[in-house]
Amino acid sequence: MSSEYKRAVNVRRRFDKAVRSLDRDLRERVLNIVDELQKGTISGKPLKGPYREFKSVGIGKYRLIYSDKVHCVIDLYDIRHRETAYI
Amino acid sequence: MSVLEEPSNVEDVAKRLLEDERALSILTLVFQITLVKISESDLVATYRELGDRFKSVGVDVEDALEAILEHNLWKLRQVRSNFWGYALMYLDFILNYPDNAYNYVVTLLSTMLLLLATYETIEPTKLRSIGEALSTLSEELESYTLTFMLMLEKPGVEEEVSATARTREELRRVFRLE
Repeated sequence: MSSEYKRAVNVRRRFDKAVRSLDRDLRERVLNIVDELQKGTISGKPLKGPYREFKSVGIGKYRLIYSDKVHCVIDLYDIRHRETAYI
Repeated sequence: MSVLEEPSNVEDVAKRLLEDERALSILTLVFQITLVKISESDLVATYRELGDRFKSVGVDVEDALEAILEHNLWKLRQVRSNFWGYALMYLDFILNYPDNAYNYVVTLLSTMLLLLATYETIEPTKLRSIGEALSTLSEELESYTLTFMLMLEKPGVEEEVSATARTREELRRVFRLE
């Protein structure tokens, strides 16, 4: 059975490229995060300045950057690994 | 009131410090020396040592320290290898988003004050309070890190929408999870 989203999900090229580089478990986790964003059970932290309409959500060492500014759309912008060799 | 006595009020201390021209002059000098003297591995080692101080009393601030370290490492790399690009980006940020720029400086200075306060105590309750304040501020700092990173990247074809999913199954296909 198809589970229709309340909001369409746009995937930017940079997000698509980033998600392809992740292993299957992480891709599943990203999918689950998108589900939670759809349900509104989680919400990201807004970025600043020219990117204030974007938000970030942590997934372990990764941050998913998205925008929900446009009504009925979740715009998946990027996934970034934290740039540090700490621990 | 000192940062050590009341870590949750660190932003007020940072704001007062930013109004003190003598303190700012010294901080500027320290920053310049740091750029010449500190290596990336020194920075990582310092954060590891700070992390150990918290761990020794059972306080988990790994995520917060990572976020703060990432910000400072990234900035160090930019200043050393992409100075003009970084300076122009930062100037753009200050000129066009002055409120954000002020809050950024307060957040950054507050994290530094808290990290310095960490060296002043071994009391678990104080370290726990410092850790809590650091966790809150590190989330804010991470928003600035990501903003600056994105501001330095030139928009291109990667900004285009490559797929639109209206169901979970469609998104699974986009994520190659079939």
